Amino acid sequence: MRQIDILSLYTNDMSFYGDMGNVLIVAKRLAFYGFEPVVHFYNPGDDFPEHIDMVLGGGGQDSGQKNIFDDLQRRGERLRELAAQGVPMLMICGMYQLFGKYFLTNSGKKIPGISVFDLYTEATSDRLIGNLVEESDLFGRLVGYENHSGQTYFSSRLRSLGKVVSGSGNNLKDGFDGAIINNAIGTYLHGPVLSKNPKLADFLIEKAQLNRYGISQLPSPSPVLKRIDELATKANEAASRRPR
Amino acid sequence: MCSPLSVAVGKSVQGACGILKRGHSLPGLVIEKLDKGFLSSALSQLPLGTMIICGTNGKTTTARLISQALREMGLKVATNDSGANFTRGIISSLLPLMSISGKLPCDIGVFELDEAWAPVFCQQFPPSYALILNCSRDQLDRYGERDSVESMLGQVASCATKGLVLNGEGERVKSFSSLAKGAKVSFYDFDPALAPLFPRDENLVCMRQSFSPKAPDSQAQVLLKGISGSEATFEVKGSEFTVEMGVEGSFNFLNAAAAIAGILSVCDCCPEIGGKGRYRAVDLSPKAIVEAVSKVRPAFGRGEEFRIGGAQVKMVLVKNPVGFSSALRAIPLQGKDVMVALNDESPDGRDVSWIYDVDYSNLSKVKEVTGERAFDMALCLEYNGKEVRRADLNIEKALGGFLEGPREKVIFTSYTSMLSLRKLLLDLDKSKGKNLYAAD
Repeated sequence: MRQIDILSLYTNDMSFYGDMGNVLIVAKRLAFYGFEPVVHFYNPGDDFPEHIDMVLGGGGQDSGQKNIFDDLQRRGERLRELAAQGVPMLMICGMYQLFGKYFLTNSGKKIPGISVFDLYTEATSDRLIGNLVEESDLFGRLVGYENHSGQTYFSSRLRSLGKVVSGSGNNLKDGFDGAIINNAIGTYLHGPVLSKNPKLADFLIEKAQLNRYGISQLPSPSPVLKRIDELATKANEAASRRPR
Repeated sequence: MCSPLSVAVGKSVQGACGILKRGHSLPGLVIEKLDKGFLSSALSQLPLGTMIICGTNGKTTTARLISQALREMGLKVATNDSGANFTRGIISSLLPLMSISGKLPCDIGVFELDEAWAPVFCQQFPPSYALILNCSRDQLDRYGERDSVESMLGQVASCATKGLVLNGEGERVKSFSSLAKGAKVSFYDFDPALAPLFPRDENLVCMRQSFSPKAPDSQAQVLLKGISGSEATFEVKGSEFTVEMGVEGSFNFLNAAAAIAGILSVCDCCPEIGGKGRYRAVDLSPKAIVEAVSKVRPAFGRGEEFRIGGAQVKMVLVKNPVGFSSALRAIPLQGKDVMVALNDESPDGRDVSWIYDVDYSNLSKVKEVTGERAFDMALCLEYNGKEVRRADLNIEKALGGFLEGPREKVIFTSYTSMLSLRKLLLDLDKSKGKNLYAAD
């Protein structure tokens, strides 16, 4: 069976807002498509697996971000290399911020990120919390939940993931959420994001398949996957109608 | 003494609320605005003091176990058993007990408090006793981070004047012992062999792989030693007691251990009990405490049972990963119909992402899924490999389908869907009076 290796980045500290669901969803969908998913849970001090087809990271508390900071600096070069090679990545909230250039704290201190994305985040005293709905050129309507106090900015050279329909997204000024470079995606959408937005999950799977096996087309979905995607459509509709 | 004017205003608002069938907290809210010293002047009248119960899981049940047990032992208890757990809810619960002149003729106050309101309460009136149950991931849409909840609970720990009772199991709560200012600290815990029944956030996030072995806590005054069906064995101050429990599920047995430790703390700090005065005849021996706690029945919606036609329906409130995972481990589901109801109103938590951190391994199939986020729930169950027969946003319709067939039934539900379901179930259950400590 064709194996796909998934790196779940900083599982223990950076999966505090249900983002572990993204790992479950990718693994299950891969299995439904006939792949053999292998998930490597990575925490500070662990070894990186030899082969990496996809990287997933989530949101954590401030204390969690502190715990992983030094290790992430050590792994920065390898992760930048993987992103440049087109390895699909999905970074949510805290890991999205740390994949940027830097994070500016309330006291004016610049905490370096690993610069996969050419963006920076500023600490604020307002926490942006609530349902987040956005329109994406690539993936249609994306629905999830945001919960962050950092606000993220970047120049027009970087492409955003979606235009915010309701909620805040990257910051309170631009009206956009997330960023894409090569096949690396960053976003503030929890939910977990892949649950109600299966096109995004299939994008990650397609890219992983293409990189490793040179095949561009995904197999046609099994009956179970069809049922799941019908539920996902209904869940997306119901969630997008909910108040902030 | 409380101002008779405040009491009169409060009571008349309460009278009007009774007619309008409005919520519990409005009279308290009015008084809170009108008379800032009300809470402290009411509660300072209580001869045995006040105990507050805090934590993310099990507050309502534990407060009920303590207050009902103390009543059983002959004390007059002021409590907020409606589940209204902001300071205004506590004021509202005091009003009907107070005389028009502002007297509160009770012996002790036992109140559950919301995590965010507990520090506010403690500033107005430092409680004699604080019992802190746990600090699990809960309502992140409200608090942002679990670390902020931890710091609020820490403030509560530092305010208790006589006794501080802590769950000795998790480091987060256990470490509050260092914050005690003069209060006598005691712990309750469970036997390490029972660890698989009590998941923590850490076990759930790490893909449910392992349970970190925990060392037995020799300091614990009360230990949940063993569980066998509906029987629990407690070790209290070195003696063992095995009792048939009125509440169900390992997590409620641990709440019972917390309740026993809470009552013991009162006993240890009040020489009046069993002394010469009016509390001479009150028996707060370990045996009497365990027996009184074991008899208490569940609080509304927390394992409450209904009989509808030939079917027995149990309703279990679940609102965060640890609570839902514990309930699935504790409640036998074999041969029973299961329904899950998930709403996303603000008391439920608007963010439903947490359902992906629940361990569903003890669940096989689900007959009905309902609530505002029924499709989110159904999708999550499908990804977890659980068969879902039907998902319907309409709670009444879903309940109708679910009640078909004579099997035993269990409903796992978020808070506001519990209130709706409870109303429907009370209408259908002819054996129950309408006046069962109603939710609202």
